[in-house]
Amino acid sequence: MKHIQKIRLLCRFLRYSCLIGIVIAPILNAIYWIHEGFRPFVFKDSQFLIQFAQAPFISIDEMSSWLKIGGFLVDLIPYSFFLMTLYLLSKLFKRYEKMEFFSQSTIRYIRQIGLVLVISQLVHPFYVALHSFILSLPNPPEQRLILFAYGPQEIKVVFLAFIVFLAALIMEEGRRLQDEHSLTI
Amino acid sequence: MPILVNIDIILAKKKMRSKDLAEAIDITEQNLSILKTGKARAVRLSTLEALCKALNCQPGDLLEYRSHDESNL
Repeated sequence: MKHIQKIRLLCRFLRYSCLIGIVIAPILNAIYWIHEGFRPFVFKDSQFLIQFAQAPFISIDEMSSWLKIGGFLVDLIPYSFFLMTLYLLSKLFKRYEKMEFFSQSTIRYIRQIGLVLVISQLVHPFYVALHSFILSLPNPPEQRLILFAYGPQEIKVVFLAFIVFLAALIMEEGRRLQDEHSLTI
Repeated sequence: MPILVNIDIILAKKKMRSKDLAEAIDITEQNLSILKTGKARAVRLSTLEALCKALNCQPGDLLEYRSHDESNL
């Protein structure tokens, strides 16, 4: 019983953390665009960076409101995948809290998390290009920038997605064993 | 399922209710129903032993094999 209570408690904590994250993350992102200084847009881990022009980015303070809004909206692209992952995790932890470990629903959520991770990394280069273009719009035309970046960090996430898919397959096997067990009298 | 568990026949002979049998062998009525309706995937030997003891019969009295062809006839 103590073990079960630990599982329930931890799942409840994780579920509420995800739900709070869903609310706070976009707000923090908006605050960043409104108040924070802008750091140069550099992927330190990326080794395949192709830059078409050497051009500095202006700081957020110097940006017009429309540019800030544009930057914020473009940032919502990766954020939407992040929020979707948090949402799926909250649903998953809710099931785990009910001690429902090997059901079709939980397996489906795990698979969907893997899918979101893969799609997020497929979309990532387009986000990077759009982000860099938007931020370099105030520059003179010959100094506008489109960056393409895909590096070890992105590959790590894809690898993680495959591990998540494997976890879903293992859970499916667990579901079959549980079904077998439940019909053993 | 080719293996049938003929609990109903023996219950009728012994004039015993399902509820009483379930209590006697310490399983739920739902699980007993799963056994009777052929939905069970497996039966533990301990359950079979308890059934035989409660119904005063042999395992062969309870279990019957009927192939798929015979079932469809």
